[in-house]
Amino acid sequence: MFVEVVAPAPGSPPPRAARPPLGRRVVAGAQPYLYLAPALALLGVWTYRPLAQTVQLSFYSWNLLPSTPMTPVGLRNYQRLIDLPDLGQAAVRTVVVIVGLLPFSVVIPVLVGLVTRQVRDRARVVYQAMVFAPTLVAPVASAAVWQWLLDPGAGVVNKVLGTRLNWLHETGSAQFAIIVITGWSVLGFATLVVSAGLAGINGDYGEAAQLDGASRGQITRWITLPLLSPTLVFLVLMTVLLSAQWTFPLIDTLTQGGPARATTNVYYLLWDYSFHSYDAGLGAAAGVLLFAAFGLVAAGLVRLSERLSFHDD
Amino acid sequence: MTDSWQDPRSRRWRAVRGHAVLAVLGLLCVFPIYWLYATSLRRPGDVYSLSPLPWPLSWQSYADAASKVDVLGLLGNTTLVAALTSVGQLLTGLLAAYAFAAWEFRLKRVLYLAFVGTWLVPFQVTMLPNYVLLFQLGLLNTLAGVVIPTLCSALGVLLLRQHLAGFPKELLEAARMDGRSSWTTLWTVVVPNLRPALAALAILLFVNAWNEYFWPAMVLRRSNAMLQLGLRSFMGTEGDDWGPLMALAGLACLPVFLLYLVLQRHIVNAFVRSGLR
Amino acid sequence: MTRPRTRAGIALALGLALATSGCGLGSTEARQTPAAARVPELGPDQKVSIVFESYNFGQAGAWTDTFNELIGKFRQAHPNITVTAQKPQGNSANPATDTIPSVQSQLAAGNPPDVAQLGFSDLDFTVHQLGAKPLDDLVGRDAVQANFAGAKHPYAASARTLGDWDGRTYGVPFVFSTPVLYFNASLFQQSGLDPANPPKTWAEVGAAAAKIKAATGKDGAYLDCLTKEAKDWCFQSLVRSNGGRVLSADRKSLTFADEPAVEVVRLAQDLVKSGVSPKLAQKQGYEAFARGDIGMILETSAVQATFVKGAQGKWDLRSTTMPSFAGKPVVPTNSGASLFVFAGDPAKQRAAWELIRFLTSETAYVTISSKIGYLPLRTGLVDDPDGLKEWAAKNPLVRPNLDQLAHMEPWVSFPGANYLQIRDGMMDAVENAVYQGADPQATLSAARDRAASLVPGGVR
Repeated sequence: MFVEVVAPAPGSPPPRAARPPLGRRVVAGAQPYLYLAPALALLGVWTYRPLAQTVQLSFYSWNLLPSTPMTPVGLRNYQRLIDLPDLGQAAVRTVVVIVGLLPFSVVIPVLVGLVTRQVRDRARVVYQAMVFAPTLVAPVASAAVWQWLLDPGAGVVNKVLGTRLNWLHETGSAQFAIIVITGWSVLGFATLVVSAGLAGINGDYGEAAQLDGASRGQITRWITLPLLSPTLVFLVLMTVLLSAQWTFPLIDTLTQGGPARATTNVYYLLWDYSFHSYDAGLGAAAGVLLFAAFGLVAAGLVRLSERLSFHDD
Repeated sequence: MTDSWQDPRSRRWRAVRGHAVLAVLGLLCVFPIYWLYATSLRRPGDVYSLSPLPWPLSWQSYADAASKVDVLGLLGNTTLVAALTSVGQLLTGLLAAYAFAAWEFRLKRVLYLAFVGTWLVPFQVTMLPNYVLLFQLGLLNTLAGVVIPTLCSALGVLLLRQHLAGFPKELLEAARMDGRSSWTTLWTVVVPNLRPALAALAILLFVNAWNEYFWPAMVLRRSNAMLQLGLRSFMGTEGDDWGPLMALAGLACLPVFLLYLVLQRHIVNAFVRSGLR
Repeated sequence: MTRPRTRAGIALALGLALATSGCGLGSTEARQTPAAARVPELGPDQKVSIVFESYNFGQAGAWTDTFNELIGKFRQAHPNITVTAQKPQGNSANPATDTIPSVQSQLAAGNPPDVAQLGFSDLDFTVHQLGAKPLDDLVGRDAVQANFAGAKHPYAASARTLGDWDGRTYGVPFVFSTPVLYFNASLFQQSGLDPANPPKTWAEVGAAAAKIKAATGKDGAYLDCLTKEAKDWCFQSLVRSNGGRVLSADRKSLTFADEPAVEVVRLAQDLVKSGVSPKLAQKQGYEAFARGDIGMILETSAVQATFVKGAQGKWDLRSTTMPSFAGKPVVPTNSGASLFVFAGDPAKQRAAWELIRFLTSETAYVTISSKIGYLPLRTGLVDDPDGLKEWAAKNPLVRPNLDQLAHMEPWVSFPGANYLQIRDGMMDAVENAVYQGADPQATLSAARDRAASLVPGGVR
């Protein structure tokens, strides 16, 4: 099964030098598409086909059951969505999560990346391994561990801090806990990306500046960080687009969006609408709105990154 | 305003400061993992103990977990699925990234955006239509049903494209001059040079596939055939039986940790020395 | 630079995707489900295989083991029927919350399970939207009633009609509990309370809880009725016991912001504010009680096994009936689930009915009660020496539940396709008031106003 799906590309005929120029040009023109074909086919079938269905569904009222008819309702699903206070509140919470995660996905990784350069090789490997380890922990396993660490009675966190806080079930602390747990697991990956970015920066610029009498701080501020900006934009983009998805398994296992909806972000709301309210049209409309909104944000960030990547050459 | 760059004393001071910062951060990161294994190795009566060292050691929690869940079966299934998924994603990603790196073509930008765009499509949107399609294909409750829909990873494509962007165009050009086909060039020039990056990405994808649990939960209804699902159902029923729960969670992470420990230098190097620039 | 072309390309791609996606969704035309005809008996060697979906298979341990044992016995008794057991798809910590989405998505794909165990809170939706088959039509009203009457011990009268709608039986009630007040007799003694005389009213519960807190430093009481996770079965019982309802009898208006309900929430909020009831999530609550850290808990008997295990050799676990609001009668409601048939094929429908008959038989209840501790709906079994008499004598914990069955009222399901939004909205408000200190009246009124438009044909 698996082989069948990936087979088309290797099967594409390699162009031979003896081909006539015109045919050759056609084949050459088709080449990139042939290489892209398997990945694109998968995307089309498993991502964009469902998305298109969702767009269509968002204009109907339907409970997904073959025995009941789909009723066209025009834009009413969108109207309802905007009238409900849930979406706005969830959007605010999503922004909180994104802002809360930026230190873990951008700030600390950059600091670590800079500091790591001052440490010798062997120790560096050890530190990198330690910071990276949480990334390897499965979401379910990390939910289990943190549930244990944050247990109000027997958990280490309360015992060490001398508090008796029910971290995951107080409106004040639940969101904070979710952010920290997610940050903990994202930090390692982000650090790795930053290290890669730093390693890709040509050392000549720094050396030249140093000869000109620039201080370390100045070099970091005016040379390293700008050169790192494509990486930073990449990380910000990832954080903005994926935060809500990163937190999802944790919310699903630890708080179910509670207490009193304090951890219900847009994706959890979408999940709630689609799978717990049986209102497929409403869920679909929410999905389309999210796609559009995140799409705009992403487009903005991508353009920003293109402008910034000038530095790279 | 010159900083004393070469002054050995200030350099040592900076190194000490670096060590301190990294050590504290590293310990904070590792502590939850340490506590997971520490709890799982305590005697059942000591689970609530706060002593940093689990002593005396006991395997009781592991025995308890194993008596309730088929650990070996879960490990086998999960390994198979993760391996198939990551290899497939690597292959589709490599081909796609190669196309982006080696050619200029009309739809390049749109198609590139199509990959980035998958990050915008929440799986909550794709889940149900894909479930219906899998049913029509007769793949429900099969491991193939878990694997096939995940065979294209946008992350894989984007990261590999990033690596390939740094690949010297001259090498590709030279290969073309030699009359090599693009297919041969891919396997004789690009892949060998890209091997560390591919290995690193493969591991990353393997870990992602290993940790995935929403989609498998949808496809495999009749059993908890994957580790994360077994762990999840265990959490639901034996929730405060912390010892066995930590034991099972520990087992669910162990293969990935071992893989990382063995290949760590490789992963980091691949990332850090990415590209040839 | 390349942007116009990009945009055109995207539009093209989206258009293509839309065009190709037309098929695969539902139809805009109503498909009339034909009235179910009586299904014939199975021939002696007619082979049938059916799928049975139950959340009990998602709970590792005693539940799964017991159910596998029952299915095994069924296979022996009916060698021509193959039963494939499955848990609901999904991954909630409590698989019972996945049941409806699971059946719904399988229906969407066109392959529903033949028999499914679904909760009473979903009854309206199960009958009207999911299209569970009316058993009265499939096998005849006589056969359904004969099953309730049983070979020797009939169903408790109040349990028989829980799966009915408009006088027709759709589901056979299978496993459920009423709210039981479990208490830690050891903590009672340490606090100078008499375990032989547990609190009878909520005022007494408050006083006893305060004493426990003062004497032992442990928490006094936890009501597993006041969070979204707990669903609303037990909250409904509290409101009914205080003379109110959450939904009017004509199912048209929401009444959970009326005085009786608000009073219940205020009382619960006071327990939490005064510090005698801990701020805990559902699971934390019953786990803490099992550890011996809480004096009393109002709970379903579904978690009794956890309590028994936790108490064993450490503290004295006892149970009593649900406390009352001074001067008003207690109205217990039921939690739990019924068994429904979704099969379309007559042979499978017959096989499904055979499975339901087996699972609700005397022998099955003997197994379920003795292995899990759940309430036998055929109550006569507990006085039958061949049934559960010995077990009941050894397990006095089951008594309050049996006593409450007599005057039990059904757990009412909310109407319409958005019933869960109504229920969850209500319970969110309750949780917000009780555990986060929001104003009860204002919070409940706001939830009611938001949900009012979701009630089909509803009036405010």
